[in-house]
Amino acid sequence: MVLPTALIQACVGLTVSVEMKNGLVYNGVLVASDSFMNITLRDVILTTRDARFFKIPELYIRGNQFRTVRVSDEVIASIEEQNARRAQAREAREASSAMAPRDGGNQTGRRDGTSSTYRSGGRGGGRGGGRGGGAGGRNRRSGNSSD
Amino acid sequence: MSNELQRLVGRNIFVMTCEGRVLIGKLRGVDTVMNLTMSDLRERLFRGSGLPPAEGAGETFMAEPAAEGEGVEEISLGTMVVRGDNVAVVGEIDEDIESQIDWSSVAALPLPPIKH
Repeated sequence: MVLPTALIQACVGLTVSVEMKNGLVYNGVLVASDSFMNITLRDVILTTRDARFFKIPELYIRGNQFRTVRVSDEVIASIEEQNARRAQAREAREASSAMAPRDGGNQTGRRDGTSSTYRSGGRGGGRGGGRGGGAGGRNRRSGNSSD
Repeated sequence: MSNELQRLVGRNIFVMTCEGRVLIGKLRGVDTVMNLTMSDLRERLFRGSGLPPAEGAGETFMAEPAAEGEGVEEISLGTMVVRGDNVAVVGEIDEDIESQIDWSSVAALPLPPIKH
């Protein structure tokens, strides 16, 4: 999922087209944006509703005044690629730091095929938690938490 | 509430904006205030094929006046962030029903903008 503010942030240095609530359209290079979607643009061309054109060297627009922000199509692809790479890196880090394989074997020996690495309560939390909550944290091998 | 929209991420959706614009495209992301990231976006312009437009309707930027017999026109818009306070309706598109509609034979008036 590509968050809207993330998409705008990723367009720094690219040309965007911003349509305002009053119908004006600003076309320019994005210099900066923030979490409220306020943006600064440079080398802007302003197009009014009656098709007059103005050139503005630098511009700051309040984020709540936009209707839409048009960006070029490649930006989404590059963001999703980045997200995928980051997710892969995160998984690799977690896998290497875990002390035991997560789904690699049925560690608790339950017949229904579920397994958890350390605790019988399992990481899902809901299973062991309701019944005698104190037992959830301890490394029990008895069948008291099976569903 | 945002789970409803997150469920639609990756699907084709229909968005009606507060100025009466109809946008169709793929939802790529949502946030808590309903800003939408969309790609492969088209705007569907309803011209009314010769009928006089409703007052204040058709506020699409630089839309040309309707020619005789021009029912529905689609403008390709690409990738866009639609600001949440400009979104009126978001709906999931049923692909089966959508593929059965012949838009070139539809005649409809443009929607007027929301008046507060």
